[in-house]
Amino acid sequence: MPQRAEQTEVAPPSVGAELVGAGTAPAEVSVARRSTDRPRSEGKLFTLGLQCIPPIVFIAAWQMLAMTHSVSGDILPRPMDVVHRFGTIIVRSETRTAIRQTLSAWLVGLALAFVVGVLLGAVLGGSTAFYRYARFTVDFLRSVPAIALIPLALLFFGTTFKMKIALIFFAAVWAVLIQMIHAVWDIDPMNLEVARSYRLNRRRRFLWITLPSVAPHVATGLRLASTLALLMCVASELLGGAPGLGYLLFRTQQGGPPADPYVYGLIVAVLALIVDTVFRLVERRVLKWHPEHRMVEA
Amino acid sequence: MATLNVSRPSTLQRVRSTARFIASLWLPVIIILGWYQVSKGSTSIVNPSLSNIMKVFCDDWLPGPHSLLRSQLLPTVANLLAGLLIAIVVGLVFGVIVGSSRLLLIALRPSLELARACPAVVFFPMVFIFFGLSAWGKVTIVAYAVFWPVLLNTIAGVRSVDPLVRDMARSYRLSRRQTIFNVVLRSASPQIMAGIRVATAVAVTMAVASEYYASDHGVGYYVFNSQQVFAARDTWSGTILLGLLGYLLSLLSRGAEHIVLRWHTNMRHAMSDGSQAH
Repeated sequence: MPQRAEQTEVAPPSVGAELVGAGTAPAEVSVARRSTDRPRSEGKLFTLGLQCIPPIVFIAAWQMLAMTHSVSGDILPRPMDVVHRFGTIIVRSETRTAIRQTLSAWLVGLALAFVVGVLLGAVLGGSTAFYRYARFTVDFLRSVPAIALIPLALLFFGTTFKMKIALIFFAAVWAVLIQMIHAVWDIDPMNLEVARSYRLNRRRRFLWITLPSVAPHVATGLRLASTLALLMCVASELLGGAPGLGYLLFRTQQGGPPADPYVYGLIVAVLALIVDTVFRLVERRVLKWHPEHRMVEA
Repeated sequence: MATLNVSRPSTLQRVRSTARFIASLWLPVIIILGWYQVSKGSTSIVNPSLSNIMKVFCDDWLPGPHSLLRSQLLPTVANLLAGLLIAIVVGLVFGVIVGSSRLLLIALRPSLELARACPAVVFFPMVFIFFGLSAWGKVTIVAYAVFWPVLLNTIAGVRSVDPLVRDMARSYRLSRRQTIFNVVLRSASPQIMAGIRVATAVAVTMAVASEYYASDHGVGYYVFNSQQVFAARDTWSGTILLGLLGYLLSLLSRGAEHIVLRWHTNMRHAMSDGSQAH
């Protein structure tokens, strides 16, 4: 796959330079060519420098905007204000409690969605009849926006931990369920037959055939679910008023320094980024054997 | 096109798939009947009887004298579609630009990953400080959230264009415009349509959520407000409406995907038939 990507990157500019000529930006072409000559030696530093440009431009533009609109200075804080407030807010015990509340609800809801999604997915994936019966219902419920259920959840549970769990569960369970159904479909029956003819017992068949074949799909489902769960968790706090980071974010609109919403937004964003990165790594780890396995087969 | 249409379903297949669809309906029917039976004559505040909910639903959300379709549903759907449309156009344009340039892609990739991972709900307070209760705030939120799946899928689609096809377009001296519309966008369309399908689901969520956060009209406002005053029947009927809206839009986006990609699936069928013949 990387080899193919390399080709895509290299081939067009050189051809384009000859045929289209003045039509393409010359600087672009020449840089691309140079990088084909020496593929990896200067690459790292160059790439890093290039990647620093967008954030710098973004922050500079923000600073300019905040300075020129001096009248609305209380609406748009300067980047440095946000950094200052970040320093004071992050050390508060209130913030740490909120982070703990958010993460614990996220974890419980995600775990619940994972267990139910995997079990139900195994049942629906394993039985054609069950799948047929449930397909429409699953399809419908899956397309119901989970955020729309906040008022109903508030009606039943109030602004509690339970409400958050219920909403997170509903938001996250479908991703796991759908992936699990496809995972079960993807188990090669031939492998199971072979395992059976070698008289591997149930436990070994599960460990050596079923689990490795199912794990990549489930890891993907878990990654999608983890992001959805965090989004739902913060949304239920922000819109529903349950305690947590989202609630602190909500409270900023009742006054206080204009930098505060940006600070809480930043904390949530960092959490989201950590969650996303961790689950991506898990997925890559679980997937690692997969292409190799495929190559051996082919 | 007609010659490619090899895989037209036979009557038998059609009957079979209809039977399957009917078989898939009995679970929801049982759930609804069960709900109806259990909630019959319910006096609970949070859990009113289904017949009451349906009565409110018919009054509010079906065309009639007291219908709220125009006053509440229309603004929500308008915000949703406006945000979706803006994001699709902007996402496509940026996606084609970034996807076609190696340098831009290298420079932007970490920033894009960072921005994409950040949940859109955290921007609610900032956006509403700028726009207040006006529709622009909601359209902005929908457009922002929808932008990412469209952009990233377009980039992925443009990157995956077969280099041979690109070279072919060049050697035929297709103009830049022709190349983009007839070659790049077309061969990227499976990914783009997948992005738009995801985007539609996100758009519904964000349109409703933005109304929960700050609004004085719209379905989201109606549902949220009814919960605040413990009008449970309204909450239920509004939530059912939102569920139906979500389902309808997901059907529509899947239908659009089907239509746009018809050439793709047909080609695949034609090709697989060809390989079987060998």
